[in-house]
Amino acid sequence: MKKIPSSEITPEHLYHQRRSFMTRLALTPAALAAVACAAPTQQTTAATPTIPPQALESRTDELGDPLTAYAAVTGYNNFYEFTTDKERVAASSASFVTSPWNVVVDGLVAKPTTFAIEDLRAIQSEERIYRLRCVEGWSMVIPWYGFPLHRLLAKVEPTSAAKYVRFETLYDPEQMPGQKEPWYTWPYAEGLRLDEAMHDLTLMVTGVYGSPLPNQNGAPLRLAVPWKYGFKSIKSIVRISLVDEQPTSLWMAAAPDEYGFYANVNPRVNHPRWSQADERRIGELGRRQTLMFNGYADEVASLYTGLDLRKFY
Amino acid sequence: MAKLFALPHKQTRALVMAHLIGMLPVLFLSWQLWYDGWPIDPIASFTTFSGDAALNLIVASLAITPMVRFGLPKFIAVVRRPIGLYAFCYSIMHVLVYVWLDYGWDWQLMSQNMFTKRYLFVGLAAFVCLVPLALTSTQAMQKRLGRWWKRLHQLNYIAALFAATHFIWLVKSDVREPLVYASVILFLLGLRLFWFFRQKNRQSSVNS
Repeated sequence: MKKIPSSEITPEHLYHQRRSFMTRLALTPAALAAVACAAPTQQTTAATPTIPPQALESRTDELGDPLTAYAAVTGYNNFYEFTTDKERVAASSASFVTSPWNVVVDGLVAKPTTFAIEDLRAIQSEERIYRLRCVEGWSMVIPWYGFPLHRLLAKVEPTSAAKYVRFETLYDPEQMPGQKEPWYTWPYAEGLRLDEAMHDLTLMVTGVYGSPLPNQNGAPLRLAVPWKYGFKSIKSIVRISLVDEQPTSLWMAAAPDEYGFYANVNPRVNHPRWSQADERRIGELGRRQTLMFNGYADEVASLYTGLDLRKFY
Repeated sequence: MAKLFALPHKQTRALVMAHLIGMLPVLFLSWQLWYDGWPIDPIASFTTFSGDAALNLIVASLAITPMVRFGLPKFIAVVRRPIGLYAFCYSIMHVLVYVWLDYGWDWQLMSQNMFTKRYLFVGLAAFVCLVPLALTSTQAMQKRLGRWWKRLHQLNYIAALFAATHFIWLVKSDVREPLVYASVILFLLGLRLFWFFRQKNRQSSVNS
């Protein structure tokens, strides 16, 4: 008899959060209501959540790993547009203006649309606890809040010619001084294959820890693709284009032999210069083994059947 | 300590300077911790801190002899030993942070890394080069080894080049800062080689 994984019976995100269900029952409706009410009127940076994020810390992901502390999630960020010093991004991005904010969705779609950020926040959203594994060898467990990208793509109706989705960060060197740095090709760009983009785990993030997304985490809209290295999860998105050719990301342009298009978390395929077999969870001493597809193999491995993951790294 | 004060005043002052320079990274770190608070990723912070400090001091120790030849007073040369030893201390700290705090003495994880992360391998090589230099840093050892002592301590250039390569290989993409270190080390090495061959030429022309 074929074994039916329990993840197919229960909607996956609920299944993932089963352990924290009781806590969430008590805490999140109020927190999410606060986000929903605050979002249309308040600027994302200034909002004060009614429930302190620290009160939401004592939960785990579906593997039983505890959430990374709110202070670490919002105080340790790779966001080269502001600074390459991870612990200074929060301060450097404090005055970043995220309202008004428009997101253009165009390219090979039947209905190209420019969305105001408020329209995107109105898309049916939910909390998802995801692991984030940085290519540098550290990781976190983060309670994002947002909507699966497929809900947005359904609104613009990709044509049959669309094969890839290309994402682009705001280009504004005055606000983002890091973009004056000529070493990289700005603005930051990333891409997904259309089936990856349509996968239910691919999340457009508008909040974290029951609060609107802080600037340093990519306000007001970022991507979270939990089975890929963190750099794929592009921040402060202003454009999403459906295209027929594989997009070139900023990191692919910077070092093509080191950063591939797929960038799936894979402990067996090393970065050309270092091993990807282990990682340090921020807040822990010692190391843990990195999991295939960052622990999401059951959900996403089928996307890559027949693909040589060593060649398409 | 008694010996320190037995030295001529100029040398004493130079040595005090050397200790201040050697402690500078710690002072800087303390100021940073005071100002910014405890880092979110202390392991990464301490790794970078100790690595930077070790590399800076290795380069400083290499720069002293050329600076004396370029006109700084000769007594300055006494600072080479303490600065070199400080560099070694920071490199021990660097290795300890890695094997203890970062990898928690997990030899299996570390050994699987040692051969896939080439920057680790070359970093370890740099550390291994520094060990005999520290062990033979006493005046007694200097006397015992005679002319071999000088040759042995030229290993410092190799250690510096390994350390700079370690830095180049570990950065994500932007190699400009490590390349500055590598260029300075190569410049210092070039200078020494230039002087060495010029002297050799002179000696051979005198002999003929």
